[in-house]
Amino acid sequence: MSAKGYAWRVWCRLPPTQRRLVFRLLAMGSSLKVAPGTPSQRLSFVLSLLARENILADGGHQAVRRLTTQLAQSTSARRVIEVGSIPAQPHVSIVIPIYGKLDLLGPQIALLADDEEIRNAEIILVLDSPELEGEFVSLVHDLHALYGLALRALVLNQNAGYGIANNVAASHATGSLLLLLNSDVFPESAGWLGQMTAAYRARAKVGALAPKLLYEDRALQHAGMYFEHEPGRGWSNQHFFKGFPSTFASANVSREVPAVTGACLLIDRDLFVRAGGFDPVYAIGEYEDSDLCLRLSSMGYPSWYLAEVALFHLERRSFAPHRSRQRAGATRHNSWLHNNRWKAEMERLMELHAQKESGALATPTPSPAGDLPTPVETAP
Amino acid sequence: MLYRMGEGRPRVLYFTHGHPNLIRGGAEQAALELYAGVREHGAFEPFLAARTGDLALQRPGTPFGAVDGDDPNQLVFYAHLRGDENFFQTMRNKRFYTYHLAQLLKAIQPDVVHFQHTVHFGVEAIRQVRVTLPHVPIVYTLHEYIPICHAQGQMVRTKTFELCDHASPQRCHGCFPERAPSDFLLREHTIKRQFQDVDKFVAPSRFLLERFVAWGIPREKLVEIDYGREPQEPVPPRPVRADGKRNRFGFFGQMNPFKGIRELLLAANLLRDAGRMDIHLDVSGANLDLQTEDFQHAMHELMEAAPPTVGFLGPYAPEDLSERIASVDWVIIPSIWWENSPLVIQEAFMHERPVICSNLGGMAEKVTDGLNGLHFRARDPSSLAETLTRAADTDGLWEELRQGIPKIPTATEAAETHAVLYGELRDARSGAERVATLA
Repeated sequence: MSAKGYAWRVWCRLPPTQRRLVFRLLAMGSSLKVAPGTPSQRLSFVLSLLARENILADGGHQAVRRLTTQLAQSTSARRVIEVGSIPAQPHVSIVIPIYGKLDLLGPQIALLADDEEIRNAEIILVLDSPELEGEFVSLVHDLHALYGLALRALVLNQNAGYGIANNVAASHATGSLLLLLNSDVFPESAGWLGQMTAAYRARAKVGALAPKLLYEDRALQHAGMYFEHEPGRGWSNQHFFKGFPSTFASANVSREVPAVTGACLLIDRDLFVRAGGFDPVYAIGEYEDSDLCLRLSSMGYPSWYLAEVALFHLERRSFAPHRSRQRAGATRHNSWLHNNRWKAEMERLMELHAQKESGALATPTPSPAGDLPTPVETAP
Repeated sequence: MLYRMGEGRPRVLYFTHGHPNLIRGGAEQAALELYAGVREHGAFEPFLAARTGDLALQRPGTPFGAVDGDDPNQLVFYAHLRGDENFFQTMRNKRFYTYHLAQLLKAIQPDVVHFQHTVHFGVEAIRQVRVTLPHVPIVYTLHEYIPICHAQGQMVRTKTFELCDHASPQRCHGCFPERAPSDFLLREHTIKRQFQDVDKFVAPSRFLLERFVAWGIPREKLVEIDYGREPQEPVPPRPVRADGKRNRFGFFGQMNPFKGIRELLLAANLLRDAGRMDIHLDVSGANLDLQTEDFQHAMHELMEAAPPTVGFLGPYAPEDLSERIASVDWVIIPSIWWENSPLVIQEAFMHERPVICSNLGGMAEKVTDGLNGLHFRARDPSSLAETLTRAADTDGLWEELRQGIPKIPTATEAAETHAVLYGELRDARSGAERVATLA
C-alpha cells in the first residue's frame, strides 16, 4: 500500500476533532508524517481530503496556503532551451503553459506562425508536466524546423499548477507586455496581436485586456467576465453572453468589464510583477485569473474587453482531466477563498458595472454623420 | 544521403499514398499513370515516392525502400497514422518530416512537388516541402473529400447514411460522437493551414472543385484536370443476334457500402420478381473481405439469394478489364456517395460502353443522361431496375448512346496539361522572386 493510501486509511478512522488537529499541524508545517513527500504530493493529499470534508476554515485553507507557498518557492525551470533567434527587446512576450498532454502544441504553433507580429514576439513555452520532457523537447525542435518560429521552452522541475507555471515563465520574459495564452487558444488569421497591443497602449490606465473568444461553433466563449451573487451560494464568476452567437450586438462593444479570462490575457509586464503575478494559493488552477483582475482593479487598473479581436478557445481542452477528487478539493478551496477575499471588491465592481450599463442605455447612441439627429426622449 | 547533382531536365516529385504494385486503388492507379505519362512526355523527369503501411518493408534508420522492379526513380516509404494522427492527418513524431522527408527532398532536388495525396503520412509533409524547398511550386491533387470529411472522405453521414453537403464541428461530431466538436474545428483549421503552402490544387471533376471552393479553398488556387488514361484499343461490341437485345450489364469496383452493390443486387431481385430473367448482370467486385463483418454478412446473404441472372466473377486485375468488359453492353455505377471522377466511367467509355449511374456528384457530371448513358435516382433500387429495363428494351438506345461517348484524355495529354501547369507555376514563382529582389 502506498504511503498516501495508508495515510488515507488512518485519516478515515479519525474523529472530526482530531482531523481538525491534523490540519492545524499540517498548517504549522509539522513534521507529522500524515502526508509525507514533496510539497506537490502533500498538496494532492490535502486537496483530496478537502473534497470530502468541508474544513476550510478549520485549518484546511491554512494547509493549502502553506503547501502552495512551498510549492511556489521550490519550483523553477530545471531546463531552458532556445530554438531559433529569439527577438531582442520584444514588445510582447507570449507565455504558453503546457500541462498533461502535448497534442495541441503542434496545431497551435502551426496556426500562430504565419504572423509577422508573432515572429517579432518572444514565445515562452512552459512545461508543467516534467515527465513529458523528452517528447516536449524534441517536439519543440521539430516545430521550429517546420515553422521557423523562435521558441524559448522551459521545463519545470515539478508539476506546480497553472498560476505558478505562468509566474515562472513570466520571470523569464523580457517583453514590455505579457500575453498569457492557453494552449487551446488559436487565431483564425494574422494581425490579432498587434490589434491587442495597440488597444492596450491606447488606454491610459488598464490592467488586464482580453479579446473575444469563440467556441468551435463560433458561439461566444468569452466576452468579458462578471461576478454574480446568488443567495445561499455566494459569488461566482460568469462570462457575459456565454454560448450566444459571436455577432450578438452587446458582445461586440469593447468596454471596461469587471474582469477578463486568463486564457488570452494581455498585461503590462511591470504591472504583472508589481501586482505579484498569479497567487499560487489557487491550487491546480482556477480563479487565479479573476483574482489577478480583482487585485489590479483594486489598485486602480480596470480590466478591458476587446471585441474587435476574436480567437478560438477550445475550452477545457488544454489540460488532461485531473484526478477528480483533487480537482474537486481545489475547486472547493479556490472558490471559498475567492469569495472571502474579494466580496467587497466584487460588490463594488458590479455596482459600478450596473451604473455604467444603465448609463449606457440612457445615453443616446451618436448618430452617423449626415443623418438627422435622433430625437431624444426626456423624462418629465 | 548524397545530394543529387543539379543537371538535366526539371524534375517533378510525386508523393502518393500507395503504390499499385503493393495495393489496389483508383487514386494510386491514377498517380502511377500520370507518372508514366510524364516520363513518356519528356519535358519533366518524374520521381515517385509512394507510401506503404507495411511495417515489414521498413528497415532500421530509414523509412525508404524500393518498389519491386528496378525503376531508379521510384521508391516507397513507410508511414502510418494511428488514432489521433489519422484524425488530424499528421504525425505525432515530426521527425519523419523534419529529417527523413527533408533528406529525400534534398536528394532529389525536385523543381516541382506534386502531392497525389497526403492521407496516411500527413499534411505536414507539405510544410516540410515548403521549408526545405522554399521556391518550388507545390501541386496537390484532390481525389476525394478526406480534408473535409473524416468519414473516409465520403461525405456520407455515418449513422444514417444520409448524403452530406457540408462539414461543421457539430455535424461531424454527430457522425463521430466520441470526438468532441472542437476536435473537428482543429482538424479543419490545421489542414487548411498546411494547404496554404500549396500553389495549385488539381480537381479531377468540377463537382469536387466546387465542394472545395465551398469549403474555403480560394477558387484561383484550383484547376480542373481530369485523369488521363493509358489509351486502350476498344474491345468490339458484344456480338448479339439481329433481334438480340443489349441486355448484359457489368459492375466493376469495390464491394463496399458506398459503391451501391447492395442497391444493385436489390434491383436484380426486383427484376426477377417482375419476371425479367433476360436481364443479365456480371459483378466484378473486389475487397469484400476488407469490409465490416456486418456488411460482409449482409452481402453474402444477398449474393446467395440473388437470381441466376447475376454472375459473381470476383476481383479483376487492370489487364483483365478488356476481357471482362467485352461480355457486357453497359457498365453500371450505382454508388451512394458523391464520387469524384470514377476511373470505371473512363474505362467504360474507352471501351465504348454507355454508363448507367446514380444521378449524383461526379458521376452525373461525367456521364450525361441521354447522351452517353442513363441516370437513375441514387440509392433507389426500383429506379435502377426501371432504368435497366428501359436500357434493355428500347431499340436503338444503346447504339445512340454509344455515339455520344466522349474521348477520354490520354495519359500523354494529361502529362502535357500538367507539364504546362508546372511550367506556369515555376514562372509565377520565379517572377515573384524577381519582384521580391527588385523591391
